[in-house]
Amino acid sequence: MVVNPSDELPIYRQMMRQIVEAIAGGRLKTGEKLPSHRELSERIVVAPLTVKKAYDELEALGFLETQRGRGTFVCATLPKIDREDQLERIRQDGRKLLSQAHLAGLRFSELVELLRSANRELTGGARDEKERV
Amino acid sequence: MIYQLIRRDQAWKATPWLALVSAVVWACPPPIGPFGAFVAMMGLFTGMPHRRATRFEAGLPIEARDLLLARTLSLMALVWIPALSGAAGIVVVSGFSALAAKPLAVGGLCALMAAVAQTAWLKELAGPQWILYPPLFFLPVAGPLMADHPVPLVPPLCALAGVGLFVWAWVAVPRSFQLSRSSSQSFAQVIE
Amino acid sequence: MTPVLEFLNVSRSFMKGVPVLDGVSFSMAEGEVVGLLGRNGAGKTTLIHIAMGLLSTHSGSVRVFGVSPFDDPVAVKRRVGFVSEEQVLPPRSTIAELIAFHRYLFGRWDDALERQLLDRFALSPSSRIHRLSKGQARQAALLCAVCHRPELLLLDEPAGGLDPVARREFLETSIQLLNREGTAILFSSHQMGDVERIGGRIVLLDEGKVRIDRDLDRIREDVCVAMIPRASAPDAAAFESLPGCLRVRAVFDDWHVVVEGDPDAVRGQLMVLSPANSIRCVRVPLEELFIELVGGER
Repeated sequence: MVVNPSDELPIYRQMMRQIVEAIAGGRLKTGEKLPSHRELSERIVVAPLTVKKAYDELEALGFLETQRGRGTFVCATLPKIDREDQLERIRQDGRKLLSQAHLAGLRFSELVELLRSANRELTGGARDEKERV
Repeated sequence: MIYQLIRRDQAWKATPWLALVSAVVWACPPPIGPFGAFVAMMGLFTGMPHRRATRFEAGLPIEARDLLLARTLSLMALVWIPALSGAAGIVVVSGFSALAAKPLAVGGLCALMAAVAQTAWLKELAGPQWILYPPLFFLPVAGPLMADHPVPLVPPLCALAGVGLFVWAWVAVPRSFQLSRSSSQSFAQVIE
Repeated sequence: MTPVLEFLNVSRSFMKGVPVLDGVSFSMAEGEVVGLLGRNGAGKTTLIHIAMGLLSTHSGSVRVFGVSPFDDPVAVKRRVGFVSEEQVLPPRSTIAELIAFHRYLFGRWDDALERQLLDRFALSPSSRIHRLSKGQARQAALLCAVCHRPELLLLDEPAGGLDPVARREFLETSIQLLNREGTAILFSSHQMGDVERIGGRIVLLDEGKVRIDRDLDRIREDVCVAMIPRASAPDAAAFESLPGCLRVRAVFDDWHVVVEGDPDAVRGQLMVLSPANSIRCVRVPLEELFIELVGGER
């Protein structure tokens, strides 16, 4: 995990995003144990309370669960995301992406290829792109 | 505690060297002999008598009184031990004479100057540096004066005054020293 | 619960009529981390010196562990670790002698931590202080300040003048201390990246007064900056009266307005005051926010 203090997103949100991406990409399996607050905070050099906040928020969203005395784990059943909200966000980001590509002089097919390779990176080549991203 | 502070004090560390140089210089016949007064003066300078504690010490859990006592003892060593060795040097070379009283008189004056410097601006870590300059001009005047009128009373009078100043300071010293307004830091860093 | 550190309306001036600190009040609880930010001369160092009992207050009071550092300086200093950019360690001393002196003065000493830090900082106990680089000397000072397991750590620009590696090691040690001992940490710094990493609360000093006293995450998420072309709103007064407005600053052709609130909501509010399509409202990292709040006009 790499955090950038100068990013627009606060550090705990960056961590949340990276953990969710790792779960989505299969790099973090369901039921897998995450490092403790202390361990992670010392590893990536971030305050332990920040780590705790990221974990707590993800737990509230249903991605993680804490078992007393045993640690924090990826939930067995991951939450269903509110599709409408997400779709609107994705639509907006998509528009942004399209205008960026347009500025860079990219053709649509080149953009699709770009998306394909990004998907491969994210999933570690583990999933067929016809399946879920 | 006091011993721990004294042995780290630069005045204490300089004392053996100064004692040696003092003994040699005073033992020489004039015109070098009276130069011993200048040696004593410079020695006192390097002891930084206007400073009661370094910034480093001020941040440590040490009572200001302990710092004051340790500093005073170190400065007294810096002043009196070379004075005694200077007198001893003269005695060794030319036997007991009134001359031997001179390094002691100089020692007495230096001790008084050290006491004044230590107790001025008592609430602060260090007094302003310029407090050391008057003695620098004072001694060349006092030196020749004493050459013509050796004053055996000088050492005990100065010692008495010094003790008086110290007792006053011991009572009046605050529990912790404040950072001084004057940045006497840079000189300290060079000498230290 | 007694606060670990408490400033109550502290004021202090250095020259007649020029206050360096003007009614500063805030407190720290056990185990809390507070980042003291401000421009040079804003009073950060003065405040830390006051907490150490090295400077007196002209009005107001300071309490460390419930006690005034002027009433019982030794008892207070025994429980506090202090590292300052301006600190000068005794140059001719060796690191071993320095450690021995601290061990003698503080009583409580963590040998294991000492060994670990000597190792991590690659410090040789026999080296003399004046032969060390600035970073190494600072690390030696940090070692001496933390190995006696203080309950409060006062760091005055501890990373000032250090290279990125030394800064990172310093940060690692601070975080380790947070984790193991729950030490309260008050630090002043210009390194916003480090401030973001160590988190906690931010106290921003500006001209001797506390401008902001809030959790870092709350600042990042609840404060945004709007950029409005000056052409469409020549008068800034309207923005200043907006509830939650922290500052309006002229920057070349735009007004930069720092407002508490969600960027979209704030944008909406501003559009009412000054209808213009080109109002942008964004959340910004701490460094930008700092400049927006205390920087000068352009």
